[in-house]
Amino acid sequence: MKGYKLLCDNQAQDRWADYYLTTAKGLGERFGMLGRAAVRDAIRMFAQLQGQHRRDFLVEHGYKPHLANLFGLGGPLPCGDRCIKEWIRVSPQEVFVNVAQCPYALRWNAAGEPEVGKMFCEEYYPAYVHQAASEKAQINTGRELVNEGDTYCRLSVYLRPANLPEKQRGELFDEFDPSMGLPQKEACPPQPVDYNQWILELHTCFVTCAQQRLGQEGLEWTETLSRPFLAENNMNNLSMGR
Amino acid sequence: MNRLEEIKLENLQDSWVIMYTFIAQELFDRGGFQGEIALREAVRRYGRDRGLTNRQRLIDNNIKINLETLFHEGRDRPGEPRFLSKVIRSTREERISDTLICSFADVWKKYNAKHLGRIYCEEFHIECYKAFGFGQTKVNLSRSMTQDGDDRCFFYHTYRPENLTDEQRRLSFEEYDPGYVKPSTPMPKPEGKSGFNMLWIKMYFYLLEAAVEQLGETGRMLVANGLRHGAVEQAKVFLEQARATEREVDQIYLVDHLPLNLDIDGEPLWETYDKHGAKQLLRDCFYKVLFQEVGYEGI
Repeated sequence: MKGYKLLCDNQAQDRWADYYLTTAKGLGERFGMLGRAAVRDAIRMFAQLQGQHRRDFLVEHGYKPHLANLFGLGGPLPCGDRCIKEWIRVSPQEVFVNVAQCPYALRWNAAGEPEVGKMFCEEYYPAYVHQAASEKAQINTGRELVNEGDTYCRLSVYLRPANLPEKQRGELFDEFDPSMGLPQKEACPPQPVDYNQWILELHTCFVTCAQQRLGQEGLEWTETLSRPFLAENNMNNLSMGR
Repeated sequence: MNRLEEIKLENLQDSWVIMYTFIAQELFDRGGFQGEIALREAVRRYGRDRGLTNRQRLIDNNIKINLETLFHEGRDRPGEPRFLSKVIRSTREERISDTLICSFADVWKKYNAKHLGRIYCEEFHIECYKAFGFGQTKVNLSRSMTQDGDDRCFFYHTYRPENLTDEQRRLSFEEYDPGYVKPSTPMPKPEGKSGFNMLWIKMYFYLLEAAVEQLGETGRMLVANGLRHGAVEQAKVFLEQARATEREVDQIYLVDHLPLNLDIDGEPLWETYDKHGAKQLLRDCFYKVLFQEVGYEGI
């Protein structure tokens, strides 16, 4: 994992970050607190979707979805050269990482909207790791580049076998899985990230959550906010298949 | 407050951390994996108890539940002179602070028990603050002095109205409670002796309860051992401290420096926490050993 970056379509990544910002901000401005509530719902839903994709990918390739594997290439952190990280500790039970530069934060801060970006960071990482690994994982984001005065993001994540139900221990850790043979020697293959697909998936989450929280007006406003991005990406007629 | 008054508060604070350390050590070293499960569960229950008790206390006093009140009116741990933190932001929705001196961590370092402190830090804050905030406080402790390589603790908590139900929002933020009038008199601050006494008994009780649930009689025996070792160490600390301040460890000294009520039967908290034989075990394994070690004959 260290010293190696997952290739990334930077333009698509920026479009996705802009799409999030425009829609989240638009819902908040029009519907106030309830609009922001819909945004947070949507982020959590989106994070659960991505977390489940990550878990499925690891399991399909024969890897336990513990923290060291989870945070490998294709994990929750942004991909690409513009995401500059300092890995402090990486083990099945602990991941400590500083992010010195984040492509999402660059975009959101440049737009003068760190607070909208902060909603994403607050909701995304806990929901993602809870879905991908276990709801018993502890996700601490102590510094954030979208937080005024902070110069890096800090994630400290813990996944303790002693806090897990017995079944999950075996699913997550080799030493608790009696069927486990020799540990894998090869690193898990990278899991590509498709930010065009992310726009579609986030759009689905926004639409679903806006409708639930805000009714028809919320749904229509979300569609209005989304339309230019969907058109720009020429993805209106693409299916959600992955 | 003069230096002798400060020493009293320091001892009152250290006492319950010493007790935690020695019981936790038994559970962790001799209780195996089940011991660690019990230890983490105990810290969570302790955190939840404090969070829920605090939340109810504030609601009963017509004070809103949010991050500002959590760290002001909701603070149940008495202050003590060594603790030093830098508060970077303190609003109802966000609390950012760095702890630079932590007397808990110093006790754990002294007894080569940072790993036991690590468990406390991982479990306590999340559970306590979440319980206080209707399960919706996001607690981030991303660096801590109990973690190798870290020289300070980074706390960053958020509590967002968007994540609350209508009723929780009303109880948390004035603008969602039309007609709300703040109480005109401030809530009393936690007292040193009674505040640390409460922490001591709750922490001990949950260690015992979780140990018995996970390990049965073995768990009880491990807690008993921890109490005895903790009592010996507590006596040593008192004797050294008393000598340094040219005093004796007599009844007055114990009343001032030990959080627990010297008359164990006169402690009202046992009405709630005397389960699993907690009071008798404490009498046999802590009080008797401590009193014997310091040469106090009891009241």
